[in-house]
Amino acid sequence: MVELALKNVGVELGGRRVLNEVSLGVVPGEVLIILGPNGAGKSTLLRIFSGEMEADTGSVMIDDIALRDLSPAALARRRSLMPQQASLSFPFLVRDVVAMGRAPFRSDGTHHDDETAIAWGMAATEVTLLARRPYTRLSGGEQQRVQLARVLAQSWRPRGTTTPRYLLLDEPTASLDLAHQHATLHLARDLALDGAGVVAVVHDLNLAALYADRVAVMSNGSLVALGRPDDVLIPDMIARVFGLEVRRIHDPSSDRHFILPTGQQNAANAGPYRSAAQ
Amino acid sequence: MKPAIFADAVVLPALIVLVVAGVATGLTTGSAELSLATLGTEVWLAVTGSPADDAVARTILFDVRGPRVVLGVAVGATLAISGAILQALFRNPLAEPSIIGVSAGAGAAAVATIALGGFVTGIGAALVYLLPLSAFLGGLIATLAVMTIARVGGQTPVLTMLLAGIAVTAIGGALMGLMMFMSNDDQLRAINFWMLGSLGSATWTAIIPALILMGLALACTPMLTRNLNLILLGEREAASLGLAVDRFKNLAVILVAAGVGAAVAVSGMIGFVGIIVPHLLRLAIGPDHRVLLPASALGGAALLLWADVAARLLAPPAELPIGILTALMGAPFFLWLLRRAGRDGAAW
Repeated sequence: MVELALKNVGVELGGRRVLNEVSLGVVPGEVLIILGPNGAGKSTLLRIFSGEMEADTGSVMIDDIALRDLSPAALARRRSLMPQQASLSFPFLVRDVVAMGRAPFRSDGTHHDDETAIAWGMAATEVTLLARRPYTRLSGGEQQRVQLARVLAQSWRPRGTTTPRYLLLDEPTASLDLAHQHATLHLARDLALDGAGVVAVVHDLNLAALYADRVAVMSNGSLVALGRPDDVLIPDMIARVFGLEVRRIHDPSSDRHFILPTGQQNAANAGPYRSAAQ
Repeated sequence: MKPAIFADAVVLPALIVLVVAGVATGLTTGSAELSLATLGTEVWLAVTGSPADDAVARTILFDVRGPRVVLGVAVGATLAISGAILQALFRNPLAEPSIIGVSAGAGAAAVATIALGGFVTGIGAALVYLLPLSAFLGGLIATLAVMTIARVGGQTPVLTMLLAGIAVTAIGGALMGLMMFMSNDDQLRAINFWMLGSLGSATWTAIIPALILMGLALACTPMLTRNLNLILLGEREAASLGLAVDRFKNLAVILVAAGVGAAVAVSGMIGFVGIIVPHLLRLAIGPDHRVLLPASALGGAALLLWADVAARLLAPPAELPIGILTALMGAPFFLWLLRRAGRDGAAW
């Protein structure tokens, strides 16, 4: 089956169960957004998806091939990963950073497409004008867009290529302004329309609702909800998982639901900082 | 920092000129001053296979100063490239063979070989081969130790790296002290002079095994350049781009240990070349290793050639150990970098 899928994955780190029997897959053409409170296991989940970390139990398959059976370069030609925090502290030019996204294609003879891929990645993230600037001189948000451009350059395929590809984005909107947050997830949608499977970790529930085909909600290492945003993102679930009271508002003009925090702490379940306040 | 398009076109030729001028000066300068014309004549005669015009001059040029100059080029290039590679592997601009303990590890192994060699009869001739090999192993053990100890959650912060380097250097120093304690007067003198770092004792027979090892290490470095760039991006990023990170790092560390071990074995403790040269060049041409590594090789060669000329001229007829000169230049430079890294909060 054409799918990047985890099956019954369990991970233990330092005696703590970080992932517990998680089964979750993403298919080409879809945007899957992972939600959950801090420490719920979202980033670990992405590490498993990317093959960076091996699961203690369960299996990870990409298009019916076990992830660990692929060479690092072959895997890199099928999936690209944008880690949460980039830590580049050497003054590479922006274009050179984006060009590194083409590293996996050095060995497979398709490097003549590199320029197209790099130019497209930079254009899509609006960093073309920064091409000759040193990366270290950019703002946090600009750096994040450059990293995204690199990931896009890695995922670029010539027209007509049918090999499935997957993008894994760990909080791609974290240090972006409002417009760029939306632009980034809009881009994720476009990529999915173009046939990519996209997994993104996002914190903003409304952003997720707007752009996700499906959302997966993690809590304490377990997958607690999975489905269409409208079905999953209901006040009851949010109160239970995040410990936050919200109302769900229907906007008639767009026919969409929006999540609105009430500003009150959850009465039934202790939310963050509750013990300190008592 | 300015984009480095035309900087490459200026910096690389300038470095080549510095190296060529350094070689010529290194060959002609010393207690017997020879003119460039003599150098030219003798080189021409030697290349064409003709007998020497001035036999004494030819001996001085090719057998006395020749090995010294060739050693300066090889050691300078090796140390500077090793510094650049270590800085990428640690993703930390303060990594350097003499600071993180590679040189101390290589040195301890080399001193042990000199000292223990005294107890084995007939080892004299084999020593030129044993010395670079043992120094290579010593440097390798030291580097792997620092890499393992200093790693905190996938990163190597400056602080733990420097502390691990201090500890490994201390162990290497203690071992060297122990060997010196056990040595007789002749060995002690040899070890002492060697520890200060010098190109002065170079003869062809003594340096050829080490030159081969350094040459092999240098010849392999072009294979590393692109992947070193990926490592700078971050180890997670490099892995997600299809690099087998651990295997690559092991390969690079082995090359560095081989090069530094060979350099230390024949020239002693010459510090800070690996930090001065890559840094100045990064300012001029940027961090891309495809340009930085060849430029560092040239820059390191130029630095050592000219430092060696200075070492011969500063206190005639005596020669200053070249390691003292590079430390006097490099240590303040290192302190300046440390201040700057602390201020920027980079990589701490």
